[in-house]
Amino acid sequence: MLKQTCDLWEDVLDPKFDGFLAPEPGSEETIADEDVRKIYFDAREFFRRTYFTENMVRILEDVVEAFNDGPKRTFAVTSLFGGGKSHTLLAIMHAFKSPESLRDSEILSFYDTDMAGKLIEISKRIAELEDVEVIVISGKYERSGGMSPLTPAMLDGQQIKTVWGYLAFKLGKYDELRNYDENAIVPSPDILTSLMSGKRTLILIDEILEPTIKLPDTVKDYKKQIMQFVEYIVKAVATTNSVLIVTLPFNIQAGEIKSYDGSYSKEYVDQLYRRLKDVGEFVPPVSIAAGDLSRILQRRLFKKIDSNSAKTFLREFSDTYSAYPDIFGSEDYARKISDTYPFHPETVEILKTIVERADLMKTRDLLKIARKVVRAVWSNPSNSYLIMPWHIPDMEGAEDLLFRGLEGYKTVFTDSVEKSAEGFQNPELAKIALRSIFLKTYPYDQRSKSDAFPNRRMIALMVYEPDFFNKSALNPPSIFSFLQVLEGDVRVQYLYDHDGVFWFYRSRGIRESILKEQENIYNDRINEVKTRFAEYVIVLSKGGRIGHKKIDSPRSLYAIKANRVTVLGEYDELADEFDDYAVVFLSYPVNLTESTPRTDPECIRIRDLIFKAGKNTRSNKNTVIVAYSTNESRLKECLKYVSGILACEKISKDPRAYVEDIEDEDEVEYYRNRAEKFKDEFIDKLIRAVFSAYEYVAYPKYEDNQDVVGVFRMQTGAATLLEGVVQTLEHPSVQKIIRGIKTFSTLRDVLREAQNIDLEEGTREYRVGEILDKFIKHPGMPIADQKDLDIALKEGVRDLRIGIIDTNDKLFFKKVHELRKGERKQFSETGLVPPGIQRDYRILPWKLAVERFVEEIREDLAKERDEIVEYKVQIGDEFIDLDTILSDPGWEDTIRLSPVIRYITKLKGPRVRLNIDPGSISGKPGEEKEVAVEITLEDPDDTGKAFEIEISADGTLDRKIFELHNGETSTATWRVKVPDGSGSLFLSLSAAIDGEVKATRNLKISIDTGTIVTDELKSEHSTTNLVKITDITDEYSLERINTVIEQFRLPEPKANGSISTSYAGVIDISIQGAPPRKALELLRVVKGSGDYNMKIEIGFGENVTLDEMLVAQLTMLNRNVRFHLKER
Amino acid sequence: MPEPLYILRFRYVKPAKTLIKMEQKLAQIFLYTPTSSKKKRIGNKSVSPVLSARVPFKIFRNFLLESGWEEKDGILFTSREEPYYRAIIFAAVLQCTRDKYLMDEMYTLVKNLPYVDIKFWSKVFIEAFENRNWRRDLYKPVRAMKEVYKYV
Repeated sequence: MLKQTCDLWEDVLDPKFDGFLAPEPGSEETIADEDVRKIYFDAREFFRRTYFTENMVRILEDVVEAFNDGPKRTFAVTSLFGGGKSHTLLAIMHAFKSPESLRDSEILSFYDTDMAGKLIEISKRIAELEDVEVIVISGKYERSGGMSPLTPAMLDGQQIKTVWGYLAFKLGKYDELRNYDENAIVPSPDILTSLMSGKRTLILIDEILEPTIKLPDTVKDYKKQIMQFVEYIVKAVATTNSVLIVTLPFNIQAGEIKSYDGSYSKEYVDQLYRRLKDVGEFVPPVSIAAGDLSRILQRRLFKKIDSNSAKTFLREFSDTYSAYPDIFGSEDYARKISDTYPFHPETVEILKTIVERADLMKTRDLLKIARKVVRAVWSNPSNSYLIMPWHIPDMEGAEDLLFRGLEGYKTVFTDSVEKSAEGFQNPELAKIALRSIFLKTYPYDQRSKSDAFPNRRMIALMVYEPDFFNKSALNPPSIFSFLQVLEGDVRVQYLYDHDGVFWFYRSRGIRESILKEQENIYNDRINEVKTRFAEYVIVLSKGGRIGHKKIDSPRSLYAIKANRVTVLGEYDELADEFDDYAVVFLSYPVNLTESTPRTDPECIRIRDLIFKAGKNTRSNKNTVIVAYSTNESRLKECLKYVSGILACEKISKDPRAYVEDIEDEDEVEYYRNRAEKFKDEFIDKLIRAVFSAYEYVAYPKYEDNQDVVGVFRMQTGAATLLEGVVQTLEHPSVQKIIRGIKTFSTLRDVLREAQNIDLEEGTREYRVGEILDKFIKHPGMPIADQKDLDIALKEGVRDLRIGIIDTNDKLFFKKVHELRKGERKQFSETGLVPPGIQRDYRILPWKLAVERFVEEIREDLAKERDEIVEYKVQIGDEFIDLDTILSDPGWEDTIRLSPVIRYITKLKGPRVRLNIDPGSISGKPGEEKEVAVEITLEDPDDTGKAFEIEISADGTLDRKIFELHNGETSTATWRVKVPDGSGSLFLSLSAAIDGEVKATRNLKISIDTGTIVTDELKSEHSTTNLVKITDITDEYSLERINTVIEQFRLPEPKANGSISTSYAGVIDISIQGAPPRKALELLRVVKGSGDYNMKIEIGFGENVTLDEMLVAQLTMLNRNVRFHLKER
Repeated sequence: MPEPLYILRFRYVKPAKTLIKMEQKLAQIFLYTPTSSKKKRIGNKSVSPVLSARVPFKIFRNFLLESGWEEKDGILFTSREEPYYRAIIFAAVLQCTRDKYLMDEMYTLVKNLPYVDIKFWSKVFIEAFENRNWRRDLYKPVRAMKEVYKYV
């Protein structure tokens, strides 16, 4: 790219030419190196490296004009050292000595047609002048006019003592002035006029003041005489056909000497100026516009610039600029680049500012720096598109050149630019951006904001270079994001910024104050920092404000309440008991990951935190969730940022105490704003740091029959910490939070899996409180919202999978639909849902619920009333008697799924009352049982008649027809054969008068499948096995059983059930597979507080063989408990 | 005029539910002057406290001792106004604060309040309390104070 489009002059790559960048006129003989001499004293070579500025051409034109009787005869080229004076003189000299070389096509090709035309015109006119004698007088070289009476020069065997002697010698008229020269007397203007008359003479005087410093004070007279000589020669020139050009090492503005080179004494400077100011034309060689500078650089450094191939590269710039107008602005900056190619416009601008501001000699040092920069770029392996501002410090000996007169910035550069760039995410980008800002601003040495300082757009323009950006895989917006980071970064201590404008200054600003204060706070007031950290973590969890930053409240929380969050310090302890979930953020690092073994002390520490309250085990073991960091340095980083926030707060309260030389209230306000801004930045960083610090969540878990700590990596992307925790717990491989728990089937599955509780198909009832407590007490259970559990239970009732019994012993299960006889209706079968669910309610698995439902129906049927109540089950369109269904095995399902309808029929005439004893029987299939039936007739009309009653039933009756009067009772015996199958079923008995059914009764038959349930153990049972003992409701029975178990060492006894008391608050204990002794201990604790309810059953690992000894022991429990026996 | 004596004693109180474990006590501040009847012994029921508040014991005691109270036989006392005012304010604030970090922040705040401020706020709290001797009456003025110092 750059290296392909541009050819350098051979000398540029060679450092030896650096010292001869602008050899003065008259120095020809002193330059030993042939190459160097050629470049400057061969007219063609010289012009090829010279860029004719507007001013130079103007002087040339004026000089030519002067020879053609123009009004001006004397010209003064003014600029400070290195401003291009000598070069201008050389150019004029060459132009007059060999005008034809000006017309060289190679030289002209560099200029636009206008300029080229001018040059050709000048060259022609000079050629027309023909015999112009060019005399160069240089005060610097003894052999070219710098001689003095003390240091005479030998020229062609002639000793010459004075500058006028030299002039005469050059004109070939030394003899005319020999006296004046030998005696060192200034010839009068008349003599000088006669000396120069008759010939066109161009006198070029360079560095005429040089002898005034070079010579000792003993020749003070000669120094004054030189001034006089200048005065006289100016007068002489005015009257002859000669032109005088003098260089003045001044900077003249508006007719006053603005500045001059410090090595000259003011006396001579003033004298010289006074003598020239009325007669001379003052022309600076290089105009202020940078255009000249860039042209000079192009000319002096590059042999050839292939502008055609450069265009393709420039297009890349313009394309990027137009693609990102927000960043680079809409101005056509690419055109500017093409003007200054291969330099970036800002490079030229910066070089110019540096040489102007710093203690440097204008053009000469500019060239010197530029050569070095170009050399550095060329020796760099990367192939840049342009010479960018940030290439400047790459040159060799950069420090010497850049910081001359601004030494204070050396440390700024090494400290704040090169070193601090390494701390950024992209050090390379940081480096070039900081370099650009630095170079652009340091020469101004200004603390307050200035218009010359670069804003974001300018920085982007200075930084963007396609080759670098492609290699580093960056795009222009990354410049802006870097600047944004930079604005809030306090590490770049010398950097100042305001409203998006950046600059460097040699004394550290607010950034350093903040950094220092931050360090102090972190070291001395760490407790305060930690307190503040805790506050911020809580705000980040549950929303609120940090400084100006608003943190939204968490939206998608589940079961965990936002106010149950705390930050735990290293020496804090958690409270003993929680009745709700709590999230704890640890402010100290814990080295616990998924792979840490469970015996690791760190793991035990967290386990204790979750499961222990003081020295005891926490009873609600499933309530504590811990979020922590494994990374100490990240936590430290957070604390550092908090210290930064505190520091900013402190400084913004009183900036005067921290920043030096604040002048007025405006500045106080400025620093206050800055501190606030940095505070915001610290807050942003803190938020990011906190989110990345808390990387793990530990939660209670149940595995291998043990309470263990589950660990999982915190999920990222949440808006608040608490949401992050919730999302982690929801993660499929954690499943600590299951939102689906609000559906009954999920709740049932969870309970079945984790607790072996089967709500739907179970065989015992559960208290609601017992189920709810499982969730906060058992570490294997998921975290669930109580509301959701209520919803799930209600759904279970609605779908008729469970029934619920409330505190008034009301069953919520099936609805009974009431219909009058003859009515017809379609029913959708859903359960009767309780309005609310309380801890004291009981849950019945559906089979128990159906049984209970039928039981209630039977109770209803048994009631005495003046009407006949019938229950029918609607199956399809048919109404089937409940009794019919009940006599089928599997009736539970039928009842559950079909609508049950209650028919009411008004009774007329006599009524029959049926009584059966026993109300229910049990037996093995095939066994025959006898039931006594009692029939009573009631005749409300009291007709006195006898009625014939016919009873009918499944099974056999010893008598079927009765004739009874009002109030009479008769009996019959009903023989029932226990049917095959299992479970229980109902047989019905009905009584009718004249074919009209007057009463029905159901007999419940429990079919015994080898299991005998009895509350009375007899010696005959000693041949059976004991399966379990149920319905243990008092302390005595439990104690007795416990004693027996221990005495006879019965295998693996397991107690299940619940103990509760509602005296002075509710205590609710659920027992699952616990040893009976534990149950007994618990009972004793509960008993102390008053009345209690207990329902416990004890099962055994394998069936216990009963023998007489054991039976004798257990008979003491007869009628207190129920024994479940199985025949051998 | 004889100097007043400010007395502070701790009693048992049912602890508030907090997430972090801390011992809580009821701090009662009494005003006692030599002219008070001798029968009315310190802590006697007939003397009602100027202010009582449920405080985390360790934090509050630490604060008292740092701000210039002296301890003898479990009773703290001072005869200077400033520690008394600060104790009143801090006790009232603690009654209404549950988060540990806020307690710590309030600690520094109350410790560094200027004299005029503590005089004002202590009067506000005492007046709020003395009406009914209800600790609950402190909540609103404390909230106001937190508002003033930008903690809410």
